[in-house]
Amino acid sequence: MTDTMTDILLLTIGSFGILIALTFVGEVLRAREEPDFQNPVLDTYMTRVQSWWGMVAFVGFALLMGRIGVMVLFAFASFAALREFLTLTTKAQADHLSLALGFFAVLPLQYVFVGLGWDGLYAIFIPVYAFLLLPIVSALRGNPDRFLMRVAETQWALMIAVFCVSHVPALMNLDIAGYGDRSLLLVAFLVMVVQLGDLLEYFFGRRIGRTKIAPGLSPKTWEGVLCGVGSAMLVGALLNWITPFGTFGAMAMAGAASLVGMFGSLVVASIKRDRGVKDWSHLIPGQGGFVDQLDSVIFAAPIFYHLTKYFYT
Amino acid sequence: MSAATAKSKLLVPSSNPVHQTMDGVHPFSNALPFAKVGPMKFLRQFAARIVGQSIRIFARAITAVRADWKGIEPVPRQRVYFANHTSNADMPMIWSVLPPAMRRTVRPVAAADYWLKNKVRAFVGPEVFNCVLVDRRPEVKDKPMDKIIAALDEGASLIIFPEGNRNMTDDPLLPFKAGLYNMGVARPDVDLVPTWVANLTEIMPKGEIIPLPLICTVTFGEPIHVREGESKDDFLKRASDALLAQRPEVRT
Repeated sequence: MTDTMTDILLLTIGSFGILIALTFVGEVLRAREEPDFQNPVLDTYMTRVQSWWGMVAFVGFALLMGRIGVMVLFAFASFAALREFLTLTTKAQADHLSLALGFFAVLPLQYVFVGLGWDGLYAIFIPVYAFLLLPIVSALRGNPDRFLMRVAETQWALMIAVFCVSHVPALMNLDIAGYGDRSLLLVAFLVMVVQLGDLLEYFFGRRIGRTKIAPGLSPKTWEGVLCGVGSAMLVGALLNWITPFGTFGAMAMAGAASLVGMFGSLVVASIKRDRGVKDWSHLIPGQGGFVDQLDSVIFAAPIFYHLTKYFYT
Repeated sequence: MSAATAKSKLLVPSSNPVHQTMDGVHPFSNALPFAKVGPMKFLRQFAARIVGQSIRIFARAITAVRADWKGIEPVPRQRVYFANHTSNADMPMIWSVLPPAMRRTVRPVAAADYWLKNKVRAFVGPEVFNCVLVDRRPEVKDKPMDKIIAALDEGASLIIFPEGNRNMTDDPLLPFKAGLYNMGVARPDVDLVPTWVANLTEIMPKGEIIPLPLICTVTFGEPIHVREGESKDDFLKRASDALLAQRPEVRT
């Protein structure tokens, strides 16, 4: 077994350790309650912990499968996210072909380019080629009704659900001196610091949150975000042994990713509010949809990718 | 799920063998103990189960189809689910979101001319979905309503599309046909459940070949019944409003 694999195994086991502790706490709280009493907060917490078990198992397994495993996992996540996003966007029958191309051509091609490591192409494929060509396909059907809305929202869906998500597996393509095949671990690092930062932001926001960042949009508070980003930096420092960044570098990278992610989820919340929905879908019990779960990772991934590329390759 | 016409000229007489088996051998459950059926029959039932599961898994994988139990609980109880009809995939969607126990006792009411058109459909319609096949030609003696009432009396729940045909217009619903009212009058104890299938028009608009994998939601509303002294038109209006009320609101 290579060092990389041993590290992934260690991380997975460590995550399972945290989940065992969280499940144990939940079960103790439940055992203390009257048998007939339904506690909605505890029920939500337990449903979420159960979903986390599933997610850690999926990500851990994908990482152990190596490059292909990670590619396939995130391609599926992209598919689920794109489906959620396009369900809510403005569209007409004239867009049918361009939407089908989005699902069945743009999405797989983007992952093929990432898989082949063609970084010049996957960085511009959706922002340039899909951006210019898909509206042409829609225009050919000759329906100008709300045209700009339709093509702009479709492009947004592709940028968020395909372009941004694909930058998580793209981290494996970064050629960092002295880091070798360990770039797989950057995927684990990004996902862990951002998701743990989110979790602790939620926890501290509930406990000590006072000042809402965007009232009427999201319950996020400045106190919560500050504590969340701080926690993400701590997690980053603790995980610095899997990165090429060094302790302070890891803290800075984790802080940047977490910060962008948290404000990204405000953007995603605005879209949900506008469309009058609470969650993007119901596919992940207790969490909502894939976009709800991944919103911060989605915003953090391209920034984290380019910061790493700029400073470390 | 092909774009076949809802009303076809190719009609098969109701004395079709498949049709008869349906009426003669087993009332509504398509799962009989092995001892009571021959090996061929058993194999067909087994194949029907596998095809049914495949359709359900396919529907889930593509559209992540989900039930929203707004007005009823997902418990086995005799009901008539009346739904909007925009696509041939409507019925499989409703069927797919029902829990197994409910799926075994539900029978979609469907046009015999469509489901007996070829061998594949004649297997899928009557044996996989366990459809109540009705022949809508006026000259046929076997009246649709008699078969529907017979299925209800056997204890089956039904899925019906009260608009009669697929709705290809921009209006959300076509005017309802009298069938729903007649059922409600004949069997007043049965719950009539408004069932809205959302998004199928975008998933598979008329004339398109590739289905879009968008999320489909099936919303079940509060049951309604024909009130005492309520006229047919009043009831059908109320039923239509009850169904429209289940439409999920998405601002665009």
